[in-house]
This record gives sequence, structure tokens and C-alpha cells, in this order.
Amino acid sequence: MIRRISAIILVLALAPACASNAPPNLSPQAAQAWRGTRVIHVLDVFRDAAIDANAQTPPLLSTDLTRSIVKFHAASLEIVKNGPSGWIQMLRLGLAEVQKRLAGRERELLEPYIDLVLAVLGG
Amino acid sequence: MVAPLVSLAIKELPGIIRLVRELRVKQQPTEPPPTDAEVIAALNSAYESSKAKDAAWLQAHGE
Repeated sequence: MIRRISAIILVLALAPACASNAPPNLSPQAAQAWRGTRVIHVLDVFRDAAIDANAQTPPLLSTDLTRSIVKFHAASLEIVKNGPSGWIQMLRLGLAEVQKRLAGRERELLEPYIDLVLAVLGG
Repeated sequence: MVAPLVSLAIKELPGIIRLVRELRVKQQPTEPPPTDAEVIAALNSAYESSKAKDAAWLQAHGE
């Protein structure tokens, strides 16, 4: 319940900012870079949460699952950096694949962070 | 179960607060908007530092 409330608070706090546009003076390429930086930062929060959960004693997240998340993050960095057409949808699909691997306690733990990433991607 | 989660939440809080501040910062009227070069440099910097952390963790965990 607390985690659900925390997730709602996080998304509500960030949603207006997520909808903000890049400064109007930027070229289309720079505007995409501006947005990409924000996406990288929110992906970092997700990755770091997974790594820190894995580092707890006892681990809250298995090393295998954490490795999957870090690999997803690494692949996402390349997508954001290269910015191919449809890059946001690619990230959403990758995140959906990660979500499929989550169950029970792991899902509860990571859902707020996944919601956060989706909120930033959705803007 | 609760104590480790609280501990984890506390640990992640600085990162989340930084993110909230970054996403909610409103430019001051006198502050010039970022240039294309600055924005692209910021992306490259975020990319490189984040990529390094991924590589370090994967190397430490058998990749």
C-alpha cells in the first residue's frame, strides 16, 4: 500500500514536468537530445534501484534479474543516444519485456520505478 | 522485509529528488536558454557516465 502511494506520488510529482517541452530555440536534433538526457536520468534511477536492491542483505532482487535490468539499461542508452525513428516505442517494448520477468515481491519493488520511466517516456 | 525496503527507499531518495528538481526546474527570465551544443554535450555526458556504470556492474558480476 505504501509502495503504491509512493508510486502515485512520484508520477504525480513528475508528470507535469515530464510534459514540458524542450526550449523552443533548439534545433530538432538538440530537442531530441534534451529529451534523451531526461530519459537517461530516469532510466538511471530505475537501474540504480535494481542494483541497490540486489546489494541489500539479503538481496531484494536476484542477481540474474538485476543483470537483465542493467543490460536493458545499457541497450536503452544506445537507443537514446542514436535516436532512431520510434526510439520511445522501442524503450517501451524493452521495458515491457523486463516487466514480464517480474513477479511477486520483485514486481512490487520495481513497479514505482517502471511507472516513473513510463511517465517520462509518455510525455 | 519492511526495514530493508525502507533502507532502500532512503538510499534511492537523493537520486529521485535530483530527478524531480531537474524535471521541474523553471528557467529564470534572465537565464539564457541552452544552446544546441550544450544540450548535445549534456546528452553525451549522461550517456558516457551511465554507460560506464553499466559496464562496471556487469564486469563485477561475471559478464
